[in-house]
Amino acid sequence: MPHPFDPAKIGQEIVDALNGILKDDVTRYVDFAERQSIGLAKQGAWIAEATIEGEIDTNDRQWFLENLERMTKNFARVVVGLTVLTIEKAWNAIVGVLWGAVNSALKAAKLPIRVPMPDAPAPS
Amino acid sequence: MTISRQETNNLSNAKLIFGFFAVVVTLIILSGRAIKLAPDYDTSIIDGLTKANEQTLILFARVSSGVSSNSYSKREKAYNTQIGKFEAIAIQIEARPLPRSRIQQVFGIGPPIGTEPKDLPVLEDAPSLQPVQEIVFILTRMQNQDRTRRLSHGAIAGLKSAYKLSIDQALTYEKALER
Repeated sequence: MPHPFDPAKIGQEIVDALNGILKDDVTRYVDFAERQSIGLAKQGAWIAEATIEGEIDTNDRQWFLENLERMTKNFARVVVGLTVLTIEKAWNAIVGVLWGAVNSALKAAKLPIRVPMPDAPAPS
Repeated sequence: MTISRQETNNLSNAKLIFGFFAVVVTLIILSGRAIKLAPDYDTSIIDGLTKANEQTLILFARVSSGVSSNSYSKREKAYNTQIGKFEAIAIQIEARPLPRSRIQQVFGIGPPIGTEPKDLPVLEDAPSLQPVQEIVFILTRMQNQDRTRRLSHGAIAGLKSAYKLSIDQALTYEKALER
């Protein structure tokens, strides 16, 4: 009887799962980062232009500059948040495949043991 | 009663061994767990953002060519409604439980366990919260300008760009939570 735990096959399953996650996430995040970077740069250019043309006064300019700074920080925060989400998905995919394989091997060997993969920890 | 040096050493060794096992057991438990590093996806937040976005863009369209404060009263209700909607969404985001970043701590890339939320430099809240709060600032600024003086075409363009960047940030993060 062949060994039920095939490391090469399981390794490939992990790679496939990670490939799917990373491809989808990276495409989505690059699009977002592109939109934001161009948008923030355009906003900076608009502030300069509107100031030169006298469309906004000193008070407005100050407000728009502070707004631009906050939006830039928010953009960075969202990028960090999206990256953390990808780490979560990657980790869970790896653990899911590995623990699934261990349990399949134990079942194939007719052992009355299951390695539990508990639910995600409750939010604190 | 005095404690000998030998007993003190034994006590320190016992503490070390206990600490070592505690770390190993923690890592074993963590290593097999599905983890959760971000809050749950909430359709009511997405729906709220989508609807509020639509109404806000309608408000921007109404004033796009510039408006005088004489006609502000016609728009007052729309401003109040939109600001109220985004404030309510911000509260909803803030109230949603946020899991602790256990895996970040295991990898040593996160803040130490026990760090006060106020001391966390990034992600002390879901990163969609600040963009929604920024939208409230933008709309409040727009309302105040509309009420007190002429809202020029140029100023509206600047406010609308700022709004669009912030709503994009909030929606992108909230939609990414669907996993």
